[in-house]
Amino acid sequence: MSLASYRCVVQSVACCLTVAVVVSMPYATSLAETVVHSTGYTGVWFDAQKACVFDPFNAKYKSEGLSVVADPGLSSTTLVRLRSEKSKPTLDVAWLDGGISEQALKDDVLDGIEVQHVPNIGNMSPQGVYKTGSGSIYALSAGYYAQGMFYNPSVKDKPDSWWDLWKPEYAGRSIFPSPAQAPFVPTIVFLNKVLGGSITNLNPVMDKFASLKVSQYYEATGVVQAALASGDILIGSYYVNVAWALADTGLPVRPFTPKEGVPAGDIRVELVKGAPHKLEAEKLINFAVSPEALNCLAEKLYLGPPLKHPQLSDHARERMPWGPTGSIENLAVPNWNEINDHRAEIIDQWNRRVVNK
Amino acid sequence: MMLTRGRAVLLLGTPCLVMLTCFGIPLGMMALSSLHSDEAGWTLANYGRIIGSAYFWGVLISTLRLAAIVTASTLILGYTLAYYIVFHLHNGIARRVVYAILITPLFTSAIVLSFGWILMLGPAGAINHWLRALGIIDRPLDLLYSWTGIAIALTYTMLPLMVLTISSVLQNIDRVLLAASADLGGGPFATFVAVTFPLSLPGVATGSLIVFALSVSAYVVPSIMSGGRHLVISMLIYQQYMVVFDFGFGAALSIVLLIVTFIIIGIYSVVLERSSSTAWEPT
Repeated sequence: MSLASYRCVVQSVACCLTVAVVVSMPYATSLAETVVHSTGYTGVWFDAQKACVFDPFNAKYKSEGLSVVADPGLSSTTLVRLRSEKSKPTLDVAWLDGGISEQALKDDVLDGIEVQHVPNIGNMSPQGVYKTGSGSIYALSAGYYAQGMFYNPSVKDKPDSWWDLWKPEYAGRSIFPSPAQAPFVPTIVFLNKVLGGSITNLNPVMDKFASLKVSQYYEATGVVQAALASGDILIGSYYVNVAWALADTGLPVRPFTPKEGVPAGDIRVELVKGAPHKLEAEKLINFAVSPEALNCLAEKLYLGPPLKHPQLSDHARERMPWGPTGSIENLAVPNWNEINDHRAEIIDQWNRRVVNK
Repeated sequence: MMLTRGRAVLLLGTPCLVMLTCFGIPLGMMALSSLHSDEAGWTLANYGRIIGSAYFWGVLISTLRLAAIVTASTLILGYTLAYYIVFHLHNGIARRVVYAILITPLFTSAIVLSFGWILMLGPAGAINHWLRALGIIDRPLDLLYSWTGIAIALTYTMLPLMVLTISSVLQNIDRVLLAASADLGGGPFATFVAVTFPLSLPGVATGSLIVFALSVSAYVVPSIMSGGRHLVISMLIYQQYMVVFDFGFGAALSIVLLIVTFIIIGIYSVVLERSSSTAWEPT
C-alpha cells in the first residue's frame, strides 16, 4: 500500500469515527435518562393530563434525567395491554377508570403503592385511596366525575329527571350512552335501583329502556359533540364535567343533575406490576396526586378532586360532580366488584331486550 | 428467465413468513384463547354458548344479510361506473379525474366518512332536503341510525374497491371480440350479456369477495352509523373484548364468524366458477 493510500484509509476511518461519535451523542445522553412509560386518556382528557401532570413532571425532573412518555388510550385498551404484557410489562404507570381498575386488580396486573414513596397520599380523602382486603394500596383517584344529563336551552320546560328522556316531545331527539361507553353499566345499574330493581333483577330498567324512543345510543363521545352541534338533540345523558366543558365552548347544552341523583365514577392512577422503573413510576404517581395536579385537573376538566382541602375557583366549584356546596361524601359511587361480576349479564340483556328490538 | 430454487424459495417464503407472522400466529393464539376459560381451563363452553343461542345466530344472520346487501349494491353501482369509465370515457384527463374522485374514500378515515354520512342522512340532512325539494317525500325518511343508513355508508366506503377491480378486468377484454359480436348481428345489450359480462366475471368475483369479506368484519362504520340501535357481529366481538373482558368468548365469536364467512365465500366461488365455465361452453 502506498503512503498516499495509507493516509487516505486512516483519514477515512477517522472521519467515520468522528461521524459515529457525533451521531451517537444524543443516544448516549438518552441512555443516561430514565423514561417512565405511562398511559393517558384521549381527547380533552389527555390534554388536561398533559397540562397538569406530564408536562410539569417533565419540567420538574428534567435536571435529574427523569421524564415520562404517555400513550393515549381508553381504559379498556390499557387493560387489554396490561393483560397481554403481564409476563413482561413495558408500562410503568396506568390510568384506569373505576371498575376497570378493580378488574385489573383481579387480573393481577397491578402492584401495591408504597405510602412512603408517595407522600402526597396524606393530602387525599380516604375515599380516593383504594386498598385491597389486606390493606395494600392498588389505585389512587385523580378525580371524580358523574354521569348526569343535559338539555338544549331551546326546550320549553326545563327537565329535572331521568324519566324526562321518555317524554313524547323528546322522542327521537334524545341520546344515551351505549355499552361501549364506560359509564353505561353503572348508569343502568343505578337507574335499575331507582326503579326498584336489583343487580340480580334487571327487568325494571330493561323494560323501561325497551320503550325509549332514542335518537341513538352513542358509541363514541365525539358523536355527542356532533349531535349537539347539529341541534338535532334536545336531551341526553353525558359526563357532567365534559358537558360543562362543551357549554364553555358555546355549544347549546345545559348540564344538570337529575333529582333522582347520578352515578359517579373516577379516573385513577395505578402502578403496573413488574414495572421496569418502579421507583420512578411512584415519583410520577406522587406527582399526579399532588394537590397542584389534582386542583389543576379540577379546573380544566371539572373533575372532583379527591383532596381533604381542595382549592378551587368559584367557576370550577359550581361545576363539581357533587354540586357547588357538596363534597365527595355526596357521590353515589357504585360497588364496582358487584358490577363487574354482573357486567356480562347486563350487556347481554341489553343487547337482547333493548337493541335490535 | 429461469428462476433458481433459492430465488423461488425467497420470493415465496417472504410473503408466507409475513402471513404466518401477521395472520397465522395471532389467529392461532385467538383460536387457543377461544378454547380456554379462567374457571374451567380448556373447554368448548364458549362455542357451546354460541351454538345453543338463537340470539347470536340472529346477529350473525343480520351481519351476513347486511354484507350481502352491501356487496350487491356495490356490485351494481361499481360495475356501472367501471363500464362507463372503460368503454365510454375516452378522454384521458377526465378518466384520471373520475378515478381520483372514486378512490378518495380510500384516503379518508372511516370515522370521518361516517360522520359525513351522519350529516347527510339526518332528518335535516342533504338527502332528505333534496328528496323533499324534488317533491318525492313529504316527511323526512328515517335513514339515520337504521340498517339502510349503515348499508349506504358501507356501500360508499367499499365502492372504490369494486370499481378498481372490475375496471382492471374490463380494460383487458379484447375489443376484437366485441367487434365480432357486432359483426354477427349482436346489439349492445346482447354483446354485453353474451360477451362482456361473462369475460368480466373474474373481476366481479374478486370484487365481490373483497367487499363481502370487508363488510362482514366492518366495525367502525356500523358502530357509528347504527347509533347503538342495531348490532352486527363485530360490535358483539368488541363488547366481549373491551367491555365485558371475556377474551375467550370474543375469540370464539371471531372464529365462528371466520368459519361461516369462509364457507359462504367457498360456495360463492364454486357457483361463480361453474356459471363462468357454463358461459364459455359452445352452444
